Amino acid sequence: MENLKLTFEKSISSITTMEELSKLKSTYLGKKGLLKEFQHKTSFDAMNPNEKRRYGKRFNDIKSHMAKSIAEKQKTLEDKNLIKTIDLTLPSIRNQKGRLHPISAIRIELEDICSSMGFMILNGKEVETDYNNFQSLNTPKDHPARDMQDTFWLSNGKLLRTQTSANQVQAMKQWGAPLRAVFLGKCFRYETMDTTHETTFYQMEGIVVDRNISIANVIAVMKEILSAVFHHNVEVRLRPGYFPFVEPAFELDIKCLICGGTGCKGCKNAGWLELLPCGLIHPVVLKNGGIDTEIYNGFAFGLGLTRLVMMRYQIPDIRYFNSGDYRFLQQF
Amino acid sequence: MKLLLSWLNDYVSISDIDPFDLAEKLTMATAEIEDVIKIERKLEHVVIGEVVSFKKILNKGCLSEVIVSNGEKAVRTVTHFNNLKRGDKIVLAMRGAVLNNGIYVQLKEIAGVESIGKICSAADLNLGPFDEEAIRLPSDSLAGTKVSDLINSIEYILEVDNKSLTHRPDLWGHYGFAREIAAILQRPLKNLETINLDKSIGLPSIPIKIKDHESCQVYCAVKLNKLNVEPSSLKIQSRLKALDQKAVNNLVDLSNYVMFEIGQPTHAFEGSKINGIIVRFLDSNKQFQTLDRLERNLVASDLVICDEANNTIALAGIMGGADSQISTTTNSILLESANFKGSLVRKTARRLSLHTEASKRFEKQLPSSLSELAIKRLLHLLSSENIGFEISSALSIEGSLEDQSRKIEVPMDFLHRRMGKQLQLSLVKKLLESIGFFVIEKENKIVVTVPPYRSQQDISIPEDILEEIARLYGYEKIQPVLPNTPMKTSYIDPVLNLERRVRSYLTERCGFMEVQTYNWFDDELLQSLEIRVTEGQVLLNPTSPKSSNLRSCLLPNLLGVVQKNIHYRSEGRIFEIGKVFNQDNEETVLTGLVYENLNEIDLEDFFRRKKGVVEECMDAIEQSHAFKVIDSKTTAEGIKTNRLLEIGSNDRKVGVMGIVPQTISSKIAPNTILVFCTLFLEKLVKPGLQKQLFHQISKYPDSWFDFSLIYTDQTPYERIASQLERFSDPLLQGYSFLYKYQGREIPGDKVCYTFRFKVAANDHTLSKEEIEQVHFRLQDHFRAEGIQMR
Repeated sequence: MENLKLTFEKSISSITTMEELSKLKSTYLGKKGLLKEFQHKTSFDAMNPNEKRRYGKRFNDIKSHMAKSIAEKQKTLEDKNLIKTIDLTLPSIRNQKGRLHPISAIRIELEDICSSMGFMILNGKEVETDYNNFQSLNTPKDHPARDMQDTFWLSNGKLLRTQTSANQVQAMKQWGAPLRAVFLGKCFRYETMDTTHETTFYQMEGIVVDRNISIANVIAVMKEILSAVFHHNVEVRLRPGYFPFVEPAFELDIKCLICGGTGCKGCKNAGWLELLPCGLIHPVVLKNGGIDTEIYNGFAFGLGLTRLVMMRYQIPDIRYFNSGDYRFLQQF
Repeated sequence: MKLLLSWLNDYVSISDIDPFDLAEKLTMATAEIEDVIKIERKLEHVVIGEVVSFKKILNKGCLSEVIVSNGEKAVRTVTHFNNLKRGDKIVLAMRGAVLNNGIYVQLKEIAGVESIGKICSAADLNLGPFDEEAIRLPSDSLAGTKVSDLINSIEYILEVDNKSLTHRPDLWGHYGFAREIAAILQRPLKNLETINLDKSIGLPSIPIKIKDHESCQVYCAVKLNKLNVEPSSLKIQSRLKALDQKAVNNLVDLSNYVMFEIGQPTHAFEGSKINGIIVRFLDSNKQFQTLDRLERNLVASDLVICDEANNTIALAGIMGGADSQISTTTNSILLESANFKGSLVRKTARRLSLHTEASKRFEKQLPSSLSELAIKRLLHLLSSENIGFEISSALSIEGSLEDQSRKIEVPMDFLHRRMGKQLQLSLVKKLLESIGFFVIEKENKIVVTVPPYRSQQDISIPEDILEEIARLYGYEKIQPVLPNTPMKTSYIDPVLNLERRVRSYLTERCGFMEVQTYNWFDDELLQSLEIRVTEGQVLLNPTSPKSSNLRSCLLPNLLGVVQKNIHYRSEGRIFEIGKVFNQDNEETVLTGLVYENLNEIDLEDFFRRKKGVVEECMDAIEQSHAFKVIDSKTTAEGIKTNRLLEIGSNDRKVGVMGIVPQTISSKIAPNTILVFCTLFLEKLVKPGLQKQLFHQISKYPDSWFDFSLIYTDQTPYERIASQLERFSDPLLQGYSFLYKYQGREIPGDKVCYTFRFKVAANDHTLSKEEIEQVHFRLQDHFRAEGIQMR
């Protein structure tokens, strides 16, 4: 009986098809199978009741073991067949994927960076008053700096903001000092559009108002923010610039990320890229914002977000952003 | 603005400095130098020549035969210049010269005449572009002089970014930049030589009247007689041409030269015609012909210069008039140098779109003292250029040459705190003095006197002094220090926060593409789709007349996006979050638009799924939601429709949802359904749903059974739901709608709705009998409501 079990184990392990398995099943468990045959051959008369009982138990154990093994084998073979019917190399079917507009994607990144440094994330209006966009920023009606920006005027005397700086004085009035805030959004200039000029673009303005803010602070904070933006320890430098609402005013350059400062096509061989204007906030602006200039001063910076996104993804034409073109938007 | 290095070298020695290094230094300390341009001039075998004879070659059009003396001998040349005469001084390229434009001068037969020289134009010598006239030189030029002795064969030009000079009128001339360079390099700056006018004291004055001293602080004038008007020297011509200026004659050229030197424009009137000056505002609109022979429409607020008889002779600070222009035969002029109010000049120049080199400078508000300096400098240059003239009037000055003297007190402590660095007082003093500031030490302060050439707008507060010190010291020498600030959690504007949540939900979870469109409508699109939007704010100066209306809703622009994309994609899901504008306000809204080919979908199923997106989105931003069918003619998002879903939350209308009518959708994309939804995000800022607290999970299993109910096909689901709502039972946990069925066994005008009812108790497992009891009670309810069961 034990031999029968051994040969069964041997043959079942080498079986690979259903046909072989059903053959094996009938060979051992069939009406004229080996087990039946073995049972017939056995002479029960020679056994005492104890032996009979042991024999019966052993026989049933082996029989049910065989049945179980065959059933298991059958499952395994079925499984194998099932998987075989699927072509695993077929391409996947994916859920339709949505995309953030590239401006939104970078916007979230920037706001998160600034938020992590304790800046408030504030909102602003797109239709603004002359006062908020210009006058409060030390740019009276006949100021030559107004020539630097071509403004969209509205029939009600208001304008489409030309710069997110339009929020500076409003933020100071609402939140007071000390203050750390960024405001990011659409700005508008009356421009003839080409690959680098758009009527509608994004800026991020940041202001810090506190005690004893210094030029050394400007350099350090900008370096910190920009290093996070570019995922790289960037080198920055300041040079004189001119914006009526900051004094002194700076142009901030970063060392070219492509060539590292040795000069390449990307930086027009200068080694440095002009990135953003900044400066210590003009006392007139602080006063307009109700800040006590005896105690507080501050700095402000303005980052051209659209240009940053163009740099990041190497987008050659600014007009794509408002085109709504799927072929553009699905790339990001 | 352009700067010539050789010109700068007149005032500060820079010939040993690499031009690119100098540009970098100026960029870092003064103003951005955008470009360094190298100009090479091939001047070998090029000399001054004197025309000996000139005759036209017959039948050869414009060609002439000219004999030119090169100082040693006469040279025969053939030229196309046709107005030369004996004695004219010109530039002659002799045999062997290779000019910049590639012309190789050799013995050649032209039109049957042997020619071995070339009379040169400015373009031939690379003095200025496109200048094809023969160069004319003053009559006292010496034939045979090598041109390379008069002008540089290599010239560097620095191109300055004008934007960085907006506040620096002192930098609108070479001398101002020389002063900066001298300070940066710590080298001496040469003084400007001027004429001594002692001799003219006692001569008659020119009567000058200034009607409004605020608009014209000072007006200086002097009359010159016996002036020898002829071409300028080659040096003056070459310098002006390198700055893209025309060479006219010695007087006009030197007037320009002084402007490019110290930044103060001057103007010469025909002297014989004018005996007095009145500066005033026009009292009525009038036409005025300017020097460039164009008629200009002047208005009453324009500041003009008039002669003693009140005839307008110049547009103050912008351009002179054609009538008073000096002629080539003149020998008497009235020379003007004045100070006009910058904003007035700017306003008129802008209105007329007439931006001249003069107006660009006056706009920046020049110091008054420059007016006198310009005349004295110009007269000095006339003398040093050997141009004959006689001063026939006193230097007449009306108004004040005194610029308001400014003293600014700056505490040393202020400087240190603002810079974030300690500087020695002696260094501070040295830096300021190097650009002409006068410094007195006083306890822990410095008292700084601002030189007159630095404008009031530029330097008036301690911060301005800080800038001067810091930029000359070098920003790169200041080490970065992060500020010390109190720890506070940061804040995000709630609307922005909501925008972020909705954006990420729709893109990451619902497969929507975010688009951005312009803040104005495309009127052409509105017209073609017959969309009528409410009148909102209007742009006065749109980039196109079709884009003057600010958008009052987002949908029309999104329809435009679909129209553009339909060729690439027959289905899509887009949304925009942006500002919309009504008469006097703006609001942040979200509009989503989903479109799909009608053949691909089951319409009802499609709409239900989109409704699901709206509901899930509301869940995601923790808002309740309720839909209300509006079954009458309404307008939403600019489109007229007969049916609309109004979205409510906490009893407020917070949005709309609907299907774009076929009349519009067929024009955008044939056979396509467009479902839109707008949410007024600012109404959804405050969380409207209470956060659910934990509730005990039942230990006992629940059971369910299905019921199918038959309704006429006109019955809205809303009514069925309310009938079901009216049934309540302690064991009923809830029900859900499974599906709607029409077909076999259901009469044609009927619809079968199948629901699943869930029953359970929280203290025991329900027995079969209990479940049956609920079943019976429900059947009773349906019978009572008159509902047919299947």
